[in-house]
Amino acid sequence: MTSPLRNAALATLAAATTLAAQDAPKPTADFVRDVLPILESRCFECHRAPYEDERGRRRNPKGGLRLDTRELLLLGGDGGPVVVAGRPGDSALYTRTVLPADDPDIMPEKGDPLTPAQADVLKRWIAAGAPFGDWTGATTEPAPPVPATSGRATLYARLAADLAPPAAATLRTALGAHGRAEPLVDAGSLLRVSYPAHQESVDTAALRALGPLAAHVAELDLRRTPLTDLAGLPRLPRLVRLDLGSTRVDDAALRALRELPELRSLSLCGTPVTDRGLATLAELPALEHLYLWQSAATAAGVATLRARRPALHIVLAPELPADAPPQRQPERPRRR
Amino acid sequence: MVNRSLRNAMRGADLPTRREFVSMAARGLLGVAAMPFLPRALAQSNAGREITAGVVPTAHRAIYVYLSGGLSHLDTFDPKPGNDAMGPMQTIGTNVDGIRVGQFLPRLARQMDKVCVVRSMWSNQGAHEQGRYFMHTSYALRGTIRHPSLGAWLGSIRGSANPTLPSHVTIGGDAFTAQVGFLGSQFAPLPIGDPEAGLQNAARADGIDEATFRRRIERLQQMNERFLAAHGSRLGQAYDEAYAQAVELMGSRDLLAFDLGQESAALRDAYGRERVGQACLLARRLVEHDVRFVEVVVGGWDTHNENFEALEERLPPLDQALAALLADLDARGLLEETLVVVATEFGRTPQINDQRNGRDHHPKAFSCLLAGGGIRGGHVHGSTDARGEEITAGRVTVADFNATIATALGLPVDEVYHSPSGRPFQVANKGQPVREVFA
Repeated sequence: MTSPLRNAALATLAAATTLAAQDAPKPTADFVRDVLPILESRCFECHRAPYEDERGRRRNPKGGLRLDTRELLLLGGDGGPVVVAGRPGDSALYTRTVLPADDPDIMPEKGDPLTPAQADVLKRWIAAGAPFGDWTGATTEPAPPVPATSGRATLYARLAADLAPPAAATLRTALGAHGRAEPLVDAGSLLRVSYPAHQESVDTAALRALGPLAAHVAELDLRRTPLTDLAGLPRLPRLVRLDLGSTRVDDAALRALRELPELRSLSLCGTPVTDRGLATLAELPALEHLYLWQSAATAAGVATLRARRPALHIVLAPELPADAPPQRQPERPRRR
Repeated sequence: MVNRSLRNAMRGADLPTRREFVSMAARGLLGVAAMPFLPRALAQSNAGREITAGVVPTAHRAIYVYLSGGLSHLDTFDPKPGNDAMGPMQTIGTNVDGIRVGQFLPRLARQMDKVCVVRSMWSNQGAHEQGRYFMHTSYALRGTIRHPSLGAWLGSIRGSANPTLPSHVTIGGDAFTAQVGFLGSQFAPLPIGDPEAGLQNAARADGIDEATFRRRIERLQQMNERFLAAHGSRLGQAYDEAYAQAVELMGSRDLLAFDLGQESAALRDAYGRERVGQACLLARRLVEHDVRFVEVVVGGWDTHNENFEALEERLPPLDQALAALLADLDARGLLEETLVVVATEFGRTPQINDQRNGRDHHPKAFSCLLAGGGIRGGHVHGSTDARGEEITAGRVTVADFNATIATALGLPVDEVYHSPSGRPFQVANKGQPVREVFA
């Protein structure tokens, strides 16, 4: 029920409150005794540290505003500061509580407006310079320990530190007509290089051409290329993933991989690599994942490599489902 | 910093241009999209700044298996052993301590170390078409606009990875699954009906030999050249390009990506010879050829009637297909950079309806899966109560789930893009990624 008459009445009431306050100056509001209870009961539900509500939903502070710590209360929200010490008329923490009840900006958004007495406490506290006493409030650390980045992002961030992206001209010459580079980090300084649809064009010269990009190549996809060796592969100090699947790269060629200090993942799926080549791989300091399906490596060779590198994840053959028709489970559900 | 080329693409999509008409014609006639072949992608992706807003991709491609109809979470990925809500369904352990699944998933149970189960999915759409559309686009279905699904966003923001193949393929979809929305037809999913039939009408017609075909194309070019010389027009050139691209694909090695005959019989058997198995195998072939986003739609999960008998029939082929897909991708080293998603529009009620022995729609708690592509395997996110009725922790809205997929694929979820009519949209409708599911 809103009407001009009601608004006028409210305005009069607000004016009366103001006048009353001027007539008989009240003592300064104490933050912990007078202000905090109002904030706790009427503001914190929306303006406090992120939390999970009873339904498991993460609730972030509305408008980016938190009132539960001194530091963040003074910092304000998305719209800027909400408290200007000494000037309640410029402080949204007060002014938005005394708007007409039907104003879309009134705070609190839910429930009844603050009582005139409550609004007056806020006003007097701000007018007195917004003293907090020794209150500092909740810790300003964000509550739930949510990892900001994945392990992979952390790794790439480290590798990309202080690395400027390559120049466009360098990219053009290094990639030739068929190479494709995609950025792996924000600035484009680490790249994933592949030759989609033109794998057959990749030869020693194409690998050698990558030289000027050597600092930037973190992932290199050479799957299904006709390569038989890695002559021409420049030293790639930041190469993390290398896919040589379905190439003819052999044991001797793997020696070139010793120049790859950051190599973590290597696919030799469908290559003629044998157990002899695995000995070279044991020397790769950072290697974590090795794929050997359909290669010439054997279980015995893999066992030897595992003994030397127990933490290495090696896939020699996938555990594929049986090719027999699906088996029925012994415990069949019965109709109720 | 809004991606300029995307914006241009959107602006151009306001009205279907002649170029788009040509593109659609090529799609219809040849089953290919003409536009992704345009040579914009290289320069754009190499610039590095256009596609990112602080997002490091953990996956370069995705296989999105969509279980149309609403998969019963209780009978599959969020079982409640001993509770009467389970009815006759038994549970089995997996290769991850503490994770149990329904009894008809024994093969997938052995791959759970690669899978993150999200048990706290939440939707507010309880009808199939609305729910399916919501799950795909993060926006509610409404009459005034069509929203893009993730595959279309991915193609438009990160570009096509393979210059001769479309960036987005859907196997067995319908009008409420993969959407191109307002993004322009070049990002629309290429529809494949039957995985075993592959891409239709991409070969020369019977009775036309190579020489005849070349002669006809040359004749066409001569006529076009004369026309273009006389009436020089950009639109005429667009026709030329569409033909050239289509002919390029016809002669491309990558056309074999669509041919399941290239796979060994043993591997085809391992995926299962049912449609879902062969569709998952085709999806693996396509992502291996750098198609960015492949959706496999599998129906039949709307088990209002005889829930347990229906699942006994439908789950084993799905179990086999998903288990084979994960094992196969992993053994090739592709799982590290391929995100596998299993999604559905909602779960099903803990109450077993008496007359029909089935379960009804239950959007307020259900389960989806994520695997590969930077996802933490052997992990469960969120939980439901003792009957699987309400979420008790870690609620993930549909928008949050899609924001998680988008983040893995390097799409900025906070960036605002404008439709041709100027309305603001975000990739996952303001959803925020669930950071905990990343390794």
